[in-house]
Amino acid sequence: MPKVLIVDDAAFMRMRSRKLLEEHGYLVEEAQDGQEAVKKYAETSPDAVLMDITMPVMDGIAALKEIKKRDPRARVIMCTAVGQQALVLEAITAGAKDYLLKPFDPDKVLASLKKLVG
Amino acid sequence: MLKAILTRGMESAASVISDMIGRRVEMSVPDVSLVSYEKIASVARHSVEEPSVGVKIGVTGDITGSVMLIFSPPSAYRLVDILMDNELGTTSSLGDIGGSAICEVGNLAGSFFLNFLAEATGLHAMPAPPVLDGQTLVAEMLKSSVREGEDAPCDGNALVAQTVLTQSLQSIEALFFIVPTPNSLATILEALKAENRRESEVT
Repeated sequence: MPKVLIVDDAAFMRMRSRKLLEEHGYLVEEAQDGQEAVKKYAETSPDAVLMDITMPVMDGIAALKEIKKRDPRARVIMCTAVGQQALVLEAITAGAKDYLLKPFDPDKVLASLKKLVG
Repeated sequence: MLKAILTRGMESAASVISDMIGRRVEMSVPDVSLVSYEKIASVARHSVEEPSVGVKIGVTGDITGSVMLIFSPPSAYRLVDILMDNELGTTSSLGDIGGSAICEVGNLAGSFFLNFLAEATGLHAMPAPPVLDGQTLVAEMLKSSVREGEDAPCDGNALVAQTVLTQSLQSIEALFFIVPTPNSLATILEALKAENRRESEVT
């Protein structure tokens, strides 16, 4: 069963994403900011990460870079609101595999994950 | 022109709220005005006198200041019930998840609005993580926002746009305030004038 790490400072978004992914057979881990994501990634070795960009403590881009430094094969999907194309570009350059716009379309979330981890 | 731009920006914000709750949200902009900082409180007092639920999003880049989405508590509770698929009337106070849900609505609405404003003016505007204020008078939120964003003496003007978002069946109403710092307000107005001139030259 593929394991996904959901990283978002909004508890509501984590809850929604967890519900969707568990209903479709994924195991789920959660982190509420970039710093916790780096730690959780090392501890749980997820197959993919759904990473919000705008977060306090450590943002998604910084966390992505840190995770890629430790695991160049990490599969990270960035999640962001519209209007942050420059950040998305930076994330793709830093090794993100895909990006999703909020509010989430559940079909797109599942399709993106399926493409990465099956 | 300013009101037209802001109205379209807020339509964009309303559309994302519709997407989030999966139901059509109607939007109206009863007033867009430039008011002095001293009068901000009185503008708000006409709308909501009771403590409200507000989400404030700081703005950085070429434009600085904040945007705020403010709900009366009953509207906020109804919105939480809709977002959480609860039976209406279930929510009577904002817990962690409910507050987070309201915050995310404000975050997305603010981001969509800022994106529209950035495209209309050619200016760069980045949203900061949203901050939830659960029990404060609207007037106090606005005054606090002005104080935090201050980059000029307090005798400047702020742009206050009041918006009413209504979800027809559930009657969810919200107010949308844009409080740029004085320098940013001048920047926005100049950019809009320049865009207007460019469009006139093209046509």
